[in-house]
Amino acid sequence: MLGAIKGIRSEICPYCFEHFKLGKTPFRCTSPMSRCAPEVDSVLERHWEDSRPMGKVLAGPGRFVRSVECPDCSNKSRKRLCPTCHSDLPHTTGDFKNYVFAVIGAKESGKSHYISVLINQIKKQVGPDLNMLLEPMNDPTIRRYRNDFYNPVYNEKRIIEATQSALANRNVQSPLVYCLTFTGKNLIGRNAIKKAAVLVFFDTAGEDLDDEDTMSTVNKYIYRSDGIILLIDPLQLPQVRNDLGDGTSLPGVNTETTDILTRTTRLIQKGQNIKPNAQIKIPLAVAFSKFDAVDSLVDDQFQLHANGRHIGGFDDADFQATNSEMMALLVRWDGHDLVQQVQTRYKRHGFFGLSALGCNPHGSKEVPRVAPRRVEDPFLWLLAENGLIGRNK
Amino acid sequence: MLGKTAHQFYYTSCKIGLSGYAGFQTRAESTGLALEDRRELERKSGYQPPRDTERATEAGGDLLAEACPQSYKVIQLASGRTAVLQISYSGEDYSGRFGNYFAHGLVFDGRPGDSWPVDLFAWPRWVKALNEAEADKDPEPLPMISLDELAIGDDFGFPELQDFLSEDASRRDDLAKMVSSVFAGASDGRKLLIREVSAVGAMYWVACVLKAFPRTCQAGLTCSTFQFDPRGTLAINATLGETDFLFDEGERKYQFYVFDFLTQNHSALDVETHEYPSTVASWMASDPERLLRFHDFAEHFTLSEADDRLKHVLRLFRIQDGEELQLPESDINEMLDFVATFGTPVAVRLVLQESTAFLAALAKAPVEIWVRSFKRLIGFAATKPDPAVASSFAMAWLEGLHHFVFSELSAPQPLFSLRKTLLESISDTEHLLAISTSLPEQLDRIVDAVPNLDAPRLEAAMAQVLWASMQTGSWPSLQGTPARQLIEAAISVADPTTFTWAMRPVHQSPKNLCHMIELIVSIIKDSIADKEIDAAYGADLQMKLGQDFADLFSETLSQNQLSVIGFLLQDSNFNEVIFGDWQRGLEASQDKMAWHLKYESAVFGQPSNYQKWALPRTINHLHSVLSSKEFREQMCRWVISHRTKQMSKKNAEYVLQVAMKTVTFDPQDTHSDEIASIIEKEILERKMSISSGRAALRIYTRSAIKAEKLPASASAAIKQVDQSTYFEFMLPILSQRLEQVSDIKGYKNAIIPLINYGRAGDFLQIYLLHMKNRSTSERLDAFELAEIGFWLNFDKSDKACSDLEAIEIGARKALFLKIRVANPKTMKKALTFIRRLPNDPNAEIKGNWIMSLETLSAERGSWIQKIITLGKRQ
Repeated sequence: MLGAIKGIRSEICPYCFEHFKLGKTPFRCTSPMSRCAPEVDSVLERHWEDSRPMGKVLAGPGRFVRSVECPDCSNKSRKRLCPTCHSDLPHTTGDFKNYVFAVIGAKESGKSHYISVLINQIKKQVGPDLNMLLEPMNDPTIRRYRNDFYNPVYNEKRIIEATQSALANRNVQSPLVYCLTFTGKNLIGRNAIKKAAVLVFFDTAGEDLDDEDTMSTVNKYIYRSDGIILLIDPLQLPQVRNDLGDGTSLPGVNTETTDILTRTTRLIQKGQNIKPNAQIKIPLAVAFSKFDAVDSLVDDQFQLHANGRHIGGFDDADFQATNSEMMALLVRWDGHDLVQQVQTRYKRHGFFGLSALGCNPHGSKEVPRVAPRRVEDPFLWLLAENGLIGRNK
Repeated sequence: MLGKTAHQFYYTSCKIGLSGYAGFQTRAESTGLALEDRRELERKSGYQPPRDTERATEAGGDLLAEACPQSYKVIQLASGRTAVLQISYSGEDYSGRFGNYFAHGLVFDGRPGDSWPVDLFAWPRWVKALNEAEADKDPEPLPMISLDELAIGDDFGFPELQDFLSEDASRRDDLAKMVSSVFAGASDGRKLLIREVSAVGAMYWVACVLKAFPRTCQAGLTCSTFQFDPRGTLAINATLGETDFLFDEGERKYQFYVFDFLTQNHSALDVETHEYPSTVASWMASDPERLLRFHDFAEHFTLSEADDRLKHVLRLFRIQDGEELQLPESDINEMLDFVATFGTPVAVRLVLQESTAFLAALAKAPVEIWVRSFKRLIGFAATKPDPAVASSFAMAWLEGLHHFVFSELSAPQPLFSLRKTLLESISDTEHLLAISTSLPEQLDRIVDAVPNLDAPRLEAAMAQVLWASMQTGSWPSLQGTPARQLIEAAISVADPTTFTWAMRPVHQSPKNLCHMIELIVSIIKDSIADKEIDAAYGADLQMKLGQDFADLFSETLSQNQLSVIGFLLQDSNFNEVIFGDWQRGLEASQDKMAWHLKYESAVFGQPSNYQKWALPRTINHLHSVLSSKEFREQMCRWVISHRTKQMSKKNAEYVLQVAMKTVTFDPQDTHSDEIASIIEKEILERKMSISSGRAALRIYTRSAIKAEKLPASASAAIKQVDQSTYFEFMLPILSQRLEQVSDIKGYKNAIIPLINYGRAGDFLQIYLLHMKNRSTSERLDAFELAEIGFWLNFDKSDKACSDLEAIEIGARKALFLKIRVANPKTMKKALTFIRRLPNDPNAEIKGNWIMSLETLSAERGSWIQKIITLGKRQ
């Protein structure tokens, strides 16, 4: 009975972001290739240009099952595939909901560095504070995070290279998939897993958000996400650049943040078929990155200068304070239209200020020390908005 | 199709480009490049340097270039266009961040000129980074590049590739395996992956693999000289350094064909290294000029995929290049199918013109396979008519004849059946084949083969040579013809066991058969004249020729055979031939007499020189093959038909003598009368030295029986004949004359004339024989009683009986013996008759007879009496 219900349940593929019914998923034979000859998966080839011979695709029975037997080798496989793109679905699919969080922003807004530091922070610091365990779901996630995000910043102490367009680099199209497990005391007081969620992070090349056509091609995940973190480089705001003067190393002028927000909004409206007069329900966290670079422009008494403290739940009071401070700053920095745009189009939204590296690497391109500030705030806010964690009032 | 111009395309991370926003984008392109092509090029232009070199890239400048390998790619766009890309890591982008790269593409409508795409790797005008001075300016459309501007360097020319392969002895085999992998990958989806230790090595490997395939087959041979991502791989991929490839067992055994020159841990190939890979690798390493010629040759085919079918192109090239290949029939058929599908008209013509070599490739196949393939080739040519190929087919067929029939000694029939098909299917081959066959070098080959040929193969050779001679008008001629060469060769190398092989090809044409016999006889006569053979052997050969001539015809004395004999009879040069023919026919016939009569009737209708020449030989031969009776009958026929009158005296005497033996003395035998009459007459007329005694006696038989007085000539004849003839003549006369007598006087009158013919000794034997013949008689009839009386009363003083005295004792003894074994009744009758005879002149003899017979009669009577008495007692 439970299987039948699950079979008709709709899920979203964290790779191609197409909806699918759990009962319709095929499987991939997981026998050693020496035992069951691999073959080219034409679906995988079409979607991902991956023509490597893989384990055979095994058709499902048309209802939810946990495994399917390979007719050739009799191996029972549990590797579930997306019916549309044949990507390997997380093994928790059907048990835990997938939550897709998109990190978007203009070029050089610090998306890659943000993800690099955020994941590390959740693992090392925020997780234990909130009884959460963040674990990569698959080898590609492990490899990609290590190679593209962690190693450059933490080991090689350099800035991450410019993210290539997802059009040219398939790695960029591959999400980072994590399992977030919540632990706590059960009814009899023992430690137990209380719930879990699959988190899917997307890093996006800024230029892929510059073009609406490209967005609709490679950034479908945005309108199918459960939360969006829009990173804005405050150093791109003309008023900020003026206020900082020549003493600060500034990046080149880039796409206007409001343009990206406009395109994102339109993408979501189209993708979710939302009327122009309706608000978008996806929580939007507007986060100003590289906040350490504008410290001098922020009032000393602002709570934004301090790190957040989310112990046992999302610190809602802190959020309310920083949210107000950020909106005030935006107005001061001639960003009132941005606030207006967010408030008008997004039912749930928040403004954040954060620094992933804690320093400005422009010029030296080196990261001598990673000193993150409030990187977890927008993420935890999204978790709270999705009901994954509670709020501390 | 050749692309005559190329669109250019720049892709990099830049501030100003075609997207309108900063970042990775198409910086510039040539006017007219389709948007879809641009989008696809953007997707294919990704670049990630090896991870283990990323830090070095930050050093910039030369170190940057050294550390990050350039990636050259050849890709096929969905639009069908070919793009060649050079992608260079360029370090920092406009924003100062690392990770930028620059892709420069050339997009061709078809093939990039008359070269391999890989040659473009050495194009000196590749752009590797955006010119800083122009980075902030709006991009101008890039100019189109004409083929003339594509001055291709020779970095990857065949000599350079040869040098590369020769640096390490194992590289040739590695290349062959790589090419095999490309073939295998077409079916199992495993792409070729080469891990090299240097970017240059990687490029050379890619160039070697690409140039192992013809220019026309490069469509599917996409490649990348540096590939980072295992996804999005192309057909041929090279990589180096730390990338996303794992080089684990899964990749090596199941996902790629890995050639890892870093660890030397290559994929094991499940497939053998086939002909194509090993050949092209070998040529590239040792004979690049030939490989280049092969690639030029491949231009004649429209095959655009680099798959296993290239082996057909390779084989065709090797054949065309003079190599002798041995191929199974299935491969030949596949090759023809291939040419039919992919051959340009030039290729088809080449293949057909190379039919000779093409079919030579099948030389080790059984003849039936070769013939089938040839027919298929003919069919192929018939569907793609080309007047220029007839000569090739003619030569191919001729080579087949040489090889299979004259060398392999296969049955010739399939070849001649094939010739029929060939002549019917392809115009002009008849004339060309005839000309080719008649070429001196071809004739020499046939003649040279003669010592090894048996009769069927010789016949095939003659058939072909004659056919060609007839087609070219050199037949018939006695001198200098190919047929003459063939026959001379056959005669000179060994005693020909038969000439049938020479005649059978023309045996259905009396005219040509006459010419052939004339030719052979001419050769034999010339050989005799030149003292190459002696006359006797020459005669034997001619007779053998005649015998073989006879063997040509299954039907006895067919119309054709008689026509030829009629021709031969006109010239005494052919006497031996005709005689051999007659001999062979006689030998083969069941009823030799009947056959001979038929032959004689048909052939000897008119007098001819041949008859005179042949008669003694005929008689001798008949004597040896016919039974005595048959032989005599034949002689009689000649006598009755007065053939002997046409014979020499000597021959006629022999025939008459033999015929005379058939003459009987049976009064009812009128045939003997006729024979005897003719014989005696001819002997007398021609004053022959032989005796006509038997014939003469036959004439007097009836007179003798009638006891008429015989003329003196009869007595002479009786005296002349041999004893056997005398017995034969006299015995019936004696019997008939004695059986007519019934008293002693009559007996005397009958016997005295007979004894008077002379030869008393012989007469006694006849008389005793006559007595013996009557000994079984149990009775004593009047003739016998007269006989007893005659001999018991025989008077020696009677002059009329003087000649009988010689047989008196013998006759009486025979009579007495006859009486004493007679039954008692007969014996009693004899006693009674004897007692009544007068005592004189032989009273004593008579008394002895009576006493003996009485004693004998008494003994027999007592014995009988004893038996009767004994029977009664019991």
